[in-house]
Amino acid sequence: MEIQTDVVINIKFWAATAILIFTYIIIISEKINKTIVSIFGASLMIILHLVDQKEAFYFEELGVDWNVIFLLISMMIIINIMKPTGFFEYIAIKSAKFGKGDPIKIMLIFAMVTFVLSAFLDNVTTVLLIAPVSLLIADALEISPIPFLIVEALASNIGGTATLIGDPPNIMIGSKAKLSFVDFLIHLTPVVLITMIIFLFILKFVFKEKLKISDEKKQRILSMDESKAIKDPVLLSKSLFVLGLVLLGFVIHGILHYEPATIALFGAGLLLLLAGIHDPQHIFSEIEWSTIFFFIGLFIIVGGVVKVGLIKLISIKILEITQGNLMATSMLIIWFSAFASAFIDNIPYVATMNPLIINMAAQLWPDEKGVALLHHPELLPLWWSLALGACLGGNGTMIGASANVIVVGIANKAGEKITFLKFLKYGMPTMLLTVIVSSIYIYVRYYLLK
Amino acid sequence: MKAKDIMSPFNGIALDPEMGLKEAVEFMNFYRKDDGTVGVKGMLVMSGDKVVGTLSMEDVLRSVIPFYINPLLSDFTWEGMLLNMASRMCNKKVKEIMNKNLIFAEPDDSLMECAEKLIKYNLQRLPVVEKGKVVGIILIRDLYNVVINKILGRLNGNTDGCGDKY
Repeated sequence: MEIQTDVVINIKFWAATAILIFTYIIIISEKINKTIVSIFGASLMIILHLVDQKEAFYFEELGVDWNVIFLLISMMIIINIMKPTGFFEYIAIKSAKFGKGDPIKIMLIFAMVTFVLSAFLDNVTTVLLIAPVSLLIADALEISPIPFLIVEALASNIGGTATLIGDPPNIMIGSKAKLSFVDFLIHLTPVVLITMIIFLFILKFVFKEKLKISDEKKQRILSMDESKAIKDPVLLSKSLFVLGLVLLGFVIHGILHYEPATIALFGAGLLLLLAGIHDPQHIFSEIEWSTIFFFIGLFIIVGGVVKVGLIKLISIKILEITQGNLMATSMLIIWFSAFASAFIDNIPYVATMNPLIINMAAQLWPDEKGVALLHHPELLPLWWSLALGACLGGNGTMIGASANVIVVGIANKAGEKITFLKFLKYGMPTMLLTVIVSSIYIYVRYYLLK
Repeated sequence: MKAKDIMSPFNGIALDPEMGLKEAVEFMNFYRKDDGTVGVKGMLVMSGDKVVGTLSMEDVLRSVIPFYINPLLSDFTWEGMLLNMASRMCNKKVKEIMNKNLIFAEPDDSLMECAEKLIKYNLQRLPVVEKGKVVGIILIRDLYNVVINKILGRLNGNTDGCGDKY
């Protein structure tokens, strides 16, 4: 296959490439806070005219993806208003009681709750909500909280893969590839559900040895009154109403021709209004601005390397290697993404991969444009492979996903150390299992049964 | 009046950071003060002649409350939980529990400055330090006494308490 390249390799090309490489190396080394590195790298891109400010701020292809930014901010606002109502603590205590104080049952139920919550909330928020309750339950039963915490991190990463809003890579892919919430439900949710069911069965098998827990300790949990968790029933009903509306909006956003960010922003605005908050400053100050600015910086850095043609050049090289065989490319993407995200942040990874896949598509089908190109039937499995690999790969190591880092930190605070190897023992098999299942799914659904 | 006028001079008695909690608590409980009474509610923790922290009743109590108990979870405790948590403290060392937030006064600090520090940082005792060396301690009670003496019009033989105008 012969592809002509029109990429000009000049000083700008090398400057942009150097900024990208240096930023990513510093991010990986964790010597400097990643948001600071990302914002500084982005400012260098603009100040050196590798990308213009106008392109960085306003152009969809080269600049900040505001769809991602507003979706993240809006969901954070909704959750921040909802958190003090005690809803999540209610769910967690209720679940623990449902497990009748039996550790294995509680672990499996907590894994399911984490899975469902993280499909709709971001994974870090989910583990931050569920981990304190897990520590409380573990203390009540006088058992180690470590398996609980690790299993919850893994379940949150699996759950996050299931929907467009579950995990940042999916939000980014959905926005860039113009895929709807329902597209994710149809193409990703089934395989994620299958992997979760297998994951739960394996957990049950691994932890089959029943811990002997005295009835007195079980009683500690059974006598908790979950209704006490609800601190503000009025705000809770308002929040659930808005959350329901937002989820409904996500399901039909494609039909209504709204971007997901519009739906989420409407939800945030409506809940701010209904909650009767006098000064929203404290709600806004709880937004994870550090994450938001990390995204903003990365979008601009990636915009720079797209503009100078680096991404196009790499896409040509990949097509040369795979000889345009898209099944091979899918498999390469899912496995490379999994191992890459097990060790590096999947957000910069996906930010770079998105334009790469679009460039590959443009090489393969030069006559197609816009949505027709992005949704080319042969291209779609590549998007799903990227989403599955990047999200599920996060389970591989303790540093693979933010949720993992959070539970390790919480365990540390509780005086229990989760070492890199300890996490790896749970995480790597989970990653391999889920990615193998996903590869089979991609192969069967998009190539074998095509 | 300044800090040095109301402080009790430092007598050199302090806890060692490496001391076990059990030992430290016994030491404080049986310590005989200058006025003859027995038992103190808190002490400085010193490594050599350097203050590294303070240990008080509040610090011990705080350390038995698990960090994960937030206002949303405080309803979900069980009978005997405090004792469960307290039994975990047996092998802790002073350095693991002490308040490491070091707030000092200097001998020439005003009483207002001392009062502000005690209240702002929720302290019971404020070490007075001169050139890196502890020279005295101001207890919250010492400052309280100054204030109530004023309110009651007993200070320095003056009678300009709350009953009088200016």
